[in-house]
Amino acid sequence: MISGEIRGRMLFALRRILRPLARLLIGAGIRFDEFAELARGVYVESAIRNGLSQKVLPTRERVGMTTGLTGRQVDYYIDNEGALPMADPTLAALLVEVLQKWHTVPPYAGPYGIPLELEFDSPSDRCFRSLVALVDPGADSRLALEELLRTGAAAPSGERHFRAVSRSLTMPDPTSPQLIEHFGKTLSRLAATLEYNMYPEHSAKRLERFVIADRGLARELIPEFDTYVRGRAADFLLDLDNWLAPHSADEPNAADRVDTGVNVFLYAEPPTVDEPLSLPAERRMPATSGKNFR
Amino acid sequence: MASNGPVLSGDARKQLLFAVRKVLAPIIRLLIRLGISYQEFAELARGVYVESAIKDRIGPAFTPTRDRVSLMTGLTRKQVDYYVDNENALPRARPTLARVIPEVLHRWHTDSHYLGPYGIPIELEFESPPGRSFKSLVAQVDPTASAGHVLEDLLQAGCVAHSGEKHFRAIARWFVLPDALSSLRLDYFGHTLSHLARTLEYNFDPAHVDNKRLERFVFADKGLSRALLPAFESHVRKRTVQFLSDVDDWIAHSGGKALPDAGVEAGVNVFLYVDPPPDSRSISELVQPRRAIGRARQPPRKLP
Repeated sequence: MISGEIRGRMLFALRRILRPLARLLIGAGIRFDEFAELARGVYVESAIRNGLSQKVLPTRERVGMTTGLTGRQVDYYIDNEGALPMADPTLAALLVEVLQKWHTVPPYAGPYGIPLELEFDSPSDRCFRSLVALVDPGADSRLALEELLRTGAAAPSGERHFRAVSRSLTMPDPTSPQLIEHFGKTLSRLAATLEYNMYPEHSAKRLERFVIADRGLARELIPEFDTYVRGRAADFLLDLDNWLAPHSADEPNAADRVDTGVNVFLYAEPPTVDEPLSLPAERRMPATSGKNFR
Repeated sequence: MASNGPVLSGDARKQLLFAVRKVLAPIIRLLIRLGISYQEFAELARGVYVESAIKDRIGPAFTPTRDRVSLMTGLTRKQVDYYVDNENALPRARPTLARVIPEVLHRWHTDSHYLGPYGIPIELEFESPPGRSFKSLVAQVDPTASAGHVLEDLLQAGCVAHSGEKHFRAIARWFVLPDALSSLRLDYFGHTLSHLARTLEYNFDPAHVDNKRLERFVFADKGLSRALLPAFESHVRKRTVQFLSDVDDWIAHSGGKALPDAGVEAGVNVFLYVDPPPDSRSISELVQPRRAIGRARQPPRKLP
């Protein structure tokens, strides 16, 4: 039985989590009804895939009862495969891996791990095309190169060569599908890790750790803090990358592999103050009572 | 037009809705487990839409009138009024000990007053001597916090243990949240996700193109053999302790002296993820077939 205290905490946590999402959605011109329709679908999907007993397939009525949705609403999402938004994966994962291999895998990385300058398709076993094929034989290497040049992660060198400028991929355009995809993946992965650790049936918890500046940091110290953490994080992640590298070779049994990784992030934000919603500049009609509104 | 935000391409818009779907999935799984229905979720989300439209000042020339909020969010004036006029329409929660507990551990491991030779935290009695006891340690962090509750949580989390009859010793430098669904965990859930969301959002902003916040990751390119996962986790755990200890020391020596009202909340998180295997089955395959109830099946229609 869930106590009122726990429910209240969850709703408050939800309020915090939804705020940046709402900001992003409003900024992108996505109105509440579109968001609500999406959330309804995720409720139905979650109730079916994860929230109900797996021993017996749930009925539609059961899904309705669990989610609080009407039978008609439940039916809509079950019977319409396109009701929930889908998107094709972007090239971002491919590009990240191409850069990683360019910096670590011989013959693309030279002595001291310096990535070699590559021609597009010559020689055939040590060129940009073969590098992309190493990551994904079906990928369009011309498109991959275009993207790396556009993002500044690679640059032309002389007339025929290309050099890797950065080991990491940075998207210059804040509205690019790649960045939005990254937002969704990263945030959902953290949410899934936190969720996993919350359930008593998972006795072995996933790693999730933090340090905080107990009393906050002076605003002017943030750049110094960021620089320090960046340096330490680079060593930390490089060490993990080196651990993973020998194990990332193609394994015969793809079904036995899991997608895993480690993410580090720094946050710095002003303390949140829970002030009432006020509209200082408003000139509004006499207030209508909103009591008991649903 | 509903907003002054960046204009998204069709692809980016699709990607955004898909991203939101992914982010909502684990959150909604948890809500279902806690018995929070869609209606409750939607009521709160509506309020957050109104809150964001008013407080986040999206767009260059935003004047927050109720009509404008209604236009931006797509909500009716009556709905906007409800959230603006009812202070209690959005949930509030009293602060938990979530911030106090890690700081108590941190001080116990870094403040020379509570350290013995070789920098090892000394064993403490609960309230004696008054100047160097567990109670005084907690009081230094937050004079209003209950030292008894803090000790209880630390004992329960296994970060502190009894030593003899009257003493307590610090076992871990890091606070590991208790297993079960607890106020502390849920509070942490909300804080941590919103921290990451804000960091990502900050990095999206073209104004910060030259001073983005750190957000980096490594992953196994072709996945990792399931058999190797425990070894990887164990390696990551060891390295994470080193990494975060360094950051913690930096904070203790270089940055921890900010006045509370002059500072910004800052920290670093590390997390390991394991993606679930892709499930290509549609949800219609995962529910029992619809029972025939004597009427012709109608094609699905768009919801009103």
